[in-house]
Amino acid sequence: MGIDEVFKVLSKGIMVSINSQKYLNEAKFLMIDENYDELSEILKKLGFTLVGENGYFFISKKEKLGDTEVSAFMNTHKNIFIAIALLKQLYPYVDRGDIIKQTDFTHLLKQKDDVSFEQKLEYLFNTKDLLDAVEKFFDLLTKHNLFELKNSDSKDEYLVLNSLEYYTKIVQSVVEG
Amino acid sequence: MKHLELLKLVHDNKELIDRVYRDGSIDSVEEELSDSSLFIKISGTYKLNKNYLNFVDSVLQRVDYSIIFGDYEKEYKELVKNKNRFLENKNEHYKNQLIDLIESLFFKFFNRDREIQVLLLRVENDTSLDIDILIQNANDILEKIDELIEANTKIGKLFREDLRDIDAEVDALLSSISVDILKYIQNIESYIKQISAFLIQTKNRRLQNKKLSKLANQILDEKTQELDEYLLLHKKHLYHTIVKNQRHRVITYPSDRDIYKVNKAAKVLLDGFEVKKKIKSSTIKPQQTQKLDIINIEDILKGLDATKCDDIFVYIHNHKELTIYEGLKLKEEAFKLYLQITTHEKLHFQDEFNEFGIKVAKWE
Repeated sequence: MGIDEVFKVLSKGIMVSINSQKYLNEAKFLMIDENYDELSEILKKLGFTLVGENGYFFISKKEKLGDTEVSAFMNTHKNIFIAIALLKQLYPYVDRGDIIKQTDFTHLLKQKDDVSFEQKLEYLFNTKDLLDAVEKFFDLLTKHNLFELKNSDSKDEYLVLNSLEYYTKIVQSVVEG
Repeated sequence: MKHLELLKLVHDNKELIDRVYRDGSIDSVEEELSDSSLFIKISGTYKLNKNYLNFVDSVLQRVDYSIIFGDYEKEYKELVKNKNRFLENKNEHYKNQLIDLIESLFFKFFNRDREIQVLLLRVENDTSLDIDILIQNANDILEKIDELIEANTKIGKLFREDLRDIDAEVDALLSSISVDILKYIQNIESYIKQISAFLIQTKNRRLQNKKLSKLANQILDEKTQELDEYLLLHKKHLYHTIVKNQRHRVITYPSDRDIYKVNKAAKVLLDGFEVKKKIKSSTIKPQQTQKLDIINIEDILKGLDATKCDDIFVYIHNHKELTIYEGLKLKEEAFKLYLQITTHEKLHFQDEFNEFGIKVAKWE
C-alpha cells in the first residue's frame, strides 16, 4: 500500500475506519505515525486536511464549498442522522464493532410495530414496503461507510464501523442534553 | 438418605430435574423425589428446592440481579461468642466451632467475590434489557457492593487482630487464608470503580440516544436551524470529499417543438446577414502546462520522454529541477509533481512499490 493509493481512496470522500476489512490496508498504512504525518503534510500543501479521529480517517477540504456541495452535504447528513436514530432505537447498545443482521433488524421492526419507525423509513426512502425500506436502509449506511458487509457471500451480517462516532460527535455538539 | 444415595437419585432423575430447572415447576413428581425434599410442593406445583438451586447457580456461576449479599453479622456474633467461651474454659468444642465459622466465612468471601465478578460481567454485556432498567440494576449492584465495604472491614479486623493468639490451630487457619481474604477485600474497591465507570458510560449512551432521537424528530419536523448552523459553520471540516460532486446537476433536453421554434427564429434573424470570414492574424498557441512555483514540469516531461524511465517518482525526486529542496520537502514537491502527471497516457502503474512507499509507474 502506497501513499498515492491511500490518497486515491480518501479523496473519494471515503471514511476509512480501522475496523474495516475493506479498507484494512489503508487503515494500517495511516495508523503508522510517519505515514500519517507525511500524508498530512502533503495534503496541507495541496489545500486539504487529513483528519484522524477515534479510529477513522478522512480528508476535508480547506477551500470554499459550492452551493450544490453544501446542499448535498446537509441532506446527506440529515438522512444519516435519521438512519442512526432508527438504528439506536432498535439497538440502544449498538456500537462500533458490533454485528447487525438484516434479518434480525427486520424482525425487530415488525415486532415493535412502532409508528415512528415507519415514519423515519418513509422519510428516508419514500416507500411503505418494509422489506424494500430495510434493504435501502442497509445500503445507505454501507454506502456512507458506517456499515460494512461482514461476508461477501451473504447479504445479512453487517459490521458497524468506527466512523459511526463521526455522527454521534456532531449530535453531542448540536443537541443540548 | 446417604450422600451417595442422593447423588444416585439426582443422576437417575437428571432429565426431569433439568427440565424443572429450566421451566421452573412441574405438576407432579415421584414420591421418592418429594420425600427427598429435592422438590417442594408450592400452590399445587412442585418446584426445585431453593437450596439446590443456590448450589447449582453457585457452581455454574449463575447470578441473578436480585441476589442479596447481606453482611456477616450473624457469623461475627457467633465468632465473638465462641471465642469468649473458648477463652473461659478452653473447651475444644468452642475451638472447633470457631474453625467452622472461620471456614464458613472464607467460603462466603470466596463465593461473594465470584458472584460479583459474574454479576459485573453480566451487567456489562446485557443488551437485552431496556437501558433504563439496566442502569437501575447497575445502581443496585453498586449499592450492594458498597454495603460490603463496612462488613468486610469488620471481618478483616476480626481475622487479623481479635481472633489471633488464642489457639495455634486457629492461628494457622487464619494465616493460611489471610492473603486471599485481603485480596477479596481489596477487590471490592476495584469492583466499585468498574461498576461506576460502567454506569457513567451507560448513562452517556442513554443521553446520546435521547439526543439522537430528538435530532431525528427535529429533522422530520423540518426544524433544523441548530443543525444547519452547526453543519454550515463546520462544513470545511466535516465535508469529506475532494472529488467534485456530479449529482444535482440539472440537464434538460429541448422538445422537438422548441427546436423547431428556435430554428425558425434563427433563420429569420440570420437571413439578412452576410458573414464575412475574419482572417486570423495571430498564431495559435499550444495549451500551456501548469507550472508549479519555479519548477518546470515540461522539462521533466521531456526528460521522461527521453529516458523512458522505470520509476517516474524516483526520476522526479532526483531531477535537477528539485535540487533546491531536500528531505521531506523534496519528497512533498516530488509527490505534487507526480500527482500532476498521474493521468498522463504514457504513465503506466506497476504492481510494486518503491523505497518511498509510492507505487512504481513507468513512462512508455
